[in-house]
Amino acid sequence: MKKVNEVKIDLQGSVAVIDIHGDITSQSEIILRSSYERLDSEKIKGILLKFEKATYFNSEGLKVLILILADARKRAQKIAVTGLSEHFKKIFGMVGITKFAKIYDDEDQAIKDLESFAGEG
Amino acid sequence: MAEPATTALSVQEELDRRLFYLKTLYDMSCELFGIMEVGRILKHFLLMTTGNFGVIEGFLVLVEPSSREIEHFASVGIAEDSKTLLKTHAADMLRIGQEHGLIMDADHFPKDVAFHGLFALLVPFQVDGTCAGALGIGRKLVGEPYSSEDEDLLLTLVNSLVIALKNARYAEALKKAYEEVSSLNRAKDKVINHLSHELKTPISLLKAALTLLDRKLGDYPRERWERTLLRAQKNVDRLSAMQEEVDDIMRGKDVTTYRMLNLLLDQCADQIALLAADEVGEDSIIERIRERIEELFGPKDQTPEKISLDRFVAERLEALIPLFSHRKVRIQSDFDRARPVIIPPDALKKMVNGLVRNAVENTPDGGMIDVTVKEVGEEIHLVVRDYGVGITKEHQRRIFEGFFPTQETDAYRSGHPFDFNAGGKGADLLRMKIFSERFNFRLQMDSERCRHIPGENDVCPGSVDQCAHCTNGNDCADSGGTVFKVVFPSSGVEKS
Repeated sequence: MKKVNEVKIDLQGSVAVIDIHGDITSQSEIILRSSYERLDSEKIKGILLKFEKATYFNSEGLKVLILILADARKRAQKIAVTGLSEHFKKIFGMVGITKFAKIYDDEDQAIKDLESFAGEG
Repeated sequence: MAEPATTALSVQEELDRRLFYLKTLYDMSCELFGIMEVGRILKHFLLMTTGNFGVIEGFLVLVEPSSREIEHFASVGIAEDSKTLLKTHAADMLRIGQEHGLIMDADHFPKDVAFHGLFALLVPFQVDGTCAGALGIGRKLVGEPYSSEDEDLLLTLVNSLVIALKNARYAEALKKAYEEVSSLNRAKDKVINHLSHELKTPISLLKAALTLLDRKLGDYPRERWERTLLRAQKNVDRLSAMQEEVDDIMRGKDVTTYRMLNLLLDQCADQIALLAADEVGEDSIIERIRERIEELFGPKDQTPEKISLDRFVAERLEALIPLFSHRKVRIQSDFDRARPVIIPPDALKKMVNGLVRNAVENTPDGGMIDVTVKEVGEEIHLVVRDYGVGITKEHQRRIFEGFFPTQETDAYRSGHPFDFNAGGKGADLLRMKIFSERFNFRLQMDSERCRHIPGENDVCPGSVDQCAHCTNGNDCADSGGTVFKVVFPSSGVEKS
């Protein structure tokens, strides 16, 4: 059964941590897109998409992420992803999401890298 | 040693990829077949397909081939100016793609076409005779070319899309046809209503004129004019009966309005009365409004009364039997003394007359009809069962639609009431159905077509004596027949 999405945004300086609960499908489009659009692209230069281990992504959900990642690239924002299961780490690589976003197991490390990227910017 | 590990890894990757592709196919079938709007189908399909292959740009276009006009265009990840180019050249793009085959690599397009480079693959498809389309997708983010497995999946996905689009287009066409029929139906109702009202006065005048003529012609020898006059009277009577039936049917449609207006009036009566008294010093306005509603929408001469159904039906039969004395049809009746039902007498009379007449006209000479009134639990049942020709399954579905005669083709109709296969106007049953909705009873029908004449165009000779299959009335009774049951629920019956 599909879980309804819940999103929390935690701003840590120039890095935003978007904590996403629920499966990522076409129904996630509005909440993910609006959460991303809410961020001030002038200030926020690093974004961590934090998923749960049990999160399921269907191909529509992946496309929603790809479109957000493509926009982030245009705005010179760096994106990192954490919390993926082993299966979806492979799928993210297969569909090329890893070209836009680096996958981390360690959330702290991801934030640290994003902060250092934002600092460089 | 490194090589087997690499092979195992790539096998695992390939398995993961195929599993993911299968899941996409499954999701696609679940998602698309529940949607009936073409625009939404296109959007979901594009998101899924481009998501599955890891592609940013994708578009779908549907074109009407003969006019080359675009029916639908959907895109994802494509810039506005590129969209304009794709739309402008959609028909040409589709033509080139169709000439090429199932899937066309963008490199095969002539270099000078305006849309060159806007997509990596083009998959043309045909939805039906009036709709063709194409899916275009960009390059994979991973930079790999599309493999033959990718192309196979793409074709399978497009096949699913075509089926979903066909379904949606059928649903759209059905909806459109339904709206058109509804609109025509409303127009037809208006015309019939108007005609029915317009006919009422001239028919009454004609009737009166014929009566006057009958009197005035009394001085002339009867044999010279009587048959002509009777023929004229009979036809005016038929016109009058038809007008009355139509009037009953059309009036049934106003009942909802009547009830709603009365309900609204009841709800707002105090406020309206106060307002009227304040503004114009008028305190009887509520009664006047109610009278006006009654006049415009109220059931005319249709006041429900308590009626003893067994006595009423017995009296009706007594009055009707002489009208078909020329027929050899046996009537068996069995009436329980039942609690009174609550219904306007005029409606009940029309219904009993209609059911008996219908039964007689469908029963060949030598056949029989059962008429019963029974108290079944809290309900009262009036049952008219004929052992006649029965109604084919196809006709049973349409029998209450109105103006749908259940009897044989026009060529065999006599036109005389109560004759076998007289061929009524088919409006009686619709009128009964409307009465049932208006006066809160149920009308049920169960029929078995005579097994010796199963087809719609098979003809009963009209007499058991002339039937090639039956030797007596019992044989005929066993071969088929129709039961009409009028059920008065406990709410339409006087409490004991």
